[in-house]
Amino acid sequence: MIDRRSLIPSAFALAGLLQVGAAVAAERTFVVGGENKNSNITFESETDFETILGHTNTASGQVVADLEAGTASVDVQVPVATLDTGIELRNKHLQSGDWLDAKQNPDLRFVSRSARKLDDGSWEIAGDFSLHGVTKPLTIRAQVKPIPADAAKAAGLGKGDWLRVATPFELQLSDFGIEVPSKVAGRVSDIWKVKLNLFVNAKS
Amino acid sequence: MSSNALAAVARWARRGAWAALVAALLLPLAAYLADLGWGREVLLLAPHDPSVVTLNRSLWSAGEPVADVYGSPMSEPTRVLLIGDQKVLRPVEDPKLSLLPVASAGKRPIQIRTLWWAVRLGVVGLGATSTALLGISLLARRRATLAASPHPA
Repeated sequence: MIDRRSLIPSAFALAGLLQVGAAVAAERTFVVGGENKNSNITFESETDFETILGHTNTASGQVVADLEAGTASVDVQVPVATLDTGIELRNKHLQSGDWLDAKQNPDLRFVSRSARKLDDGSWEIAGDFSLHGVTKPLTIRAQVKPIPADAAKAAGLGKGDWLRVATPFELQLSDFGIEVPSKVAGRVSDIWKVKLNLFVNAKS
Repeated sequence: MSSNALAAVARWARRGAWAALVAALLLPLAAYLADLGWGREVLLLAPHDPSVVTLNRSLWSAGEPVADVYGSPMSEPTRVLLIGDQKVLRPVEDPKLSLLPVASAGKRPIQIRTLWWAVRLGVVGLGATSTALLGISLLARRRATLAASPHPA
């Protein structure tokens, strides 16, 4: 014979487990990069000589987010060797030891420490940005927009749910131990405006 | 050197100085006319993948930035030289916008600010050349005058 009183704590425990399960289910992992070319990362340098718009479509990493609860963690890497400034020779200089030193420091990386949702689409993410072997704290404002699976499929983006993450921020190269070589001084700015446009795909 | 040769040096140096001075004055005018004739203001952008553009267009609503639909744009428009209409994208969402996608290496337009930078360099160089030639001309003329004058007995 089953004692009904002994069932009550079990029922509470089960309900608790279900709640935990629901919370875990709300947190989803989204993959950056992979096979898709949907990411668009740009950097901009402005001087009296010229404005440089460099870009890459290559990024990797992941975003783990609970959009309802407003919690997230981010880890994004961009290979230095893929940065394209529009001129082959300048790309070689950029990746050389005088500049970003792609051999010693092959990736730019942002790893979040905390994230909070400001409103429906805006997030403030604090983390560490690594460039040229130097890691500095960086806080960014990101616009995060969920892309429904059917809209993504209709556009040819791919299967599953997606997030569009867009964030602009500024970097000062000298903060990361990068000195603009004297022979190009005045042609490349110490301050780069960076924009990350990432389409991240939910893990099925 | 004979007084005639020195006078010729002075004459040619003076002509050179004038030519450099005129070129220094004409360079900015030529750049201004080139900008007026073949320059245009565009918003450079790194284009998105076509699937992303399709998606962005389906999600776009009035009031949102238009350039971001097509790519990652620069923060400010840039004046460029010798870019034909066929290379400029005029979005249906805002036909007043002139977007210039710059996708890969070697496809970058000449920027007007680079032209003016070269002009400034040219003006300084020609100005310095003009001054130097004027100095040579004055020196050669003085020596020619001295060489031509009768020696005291």
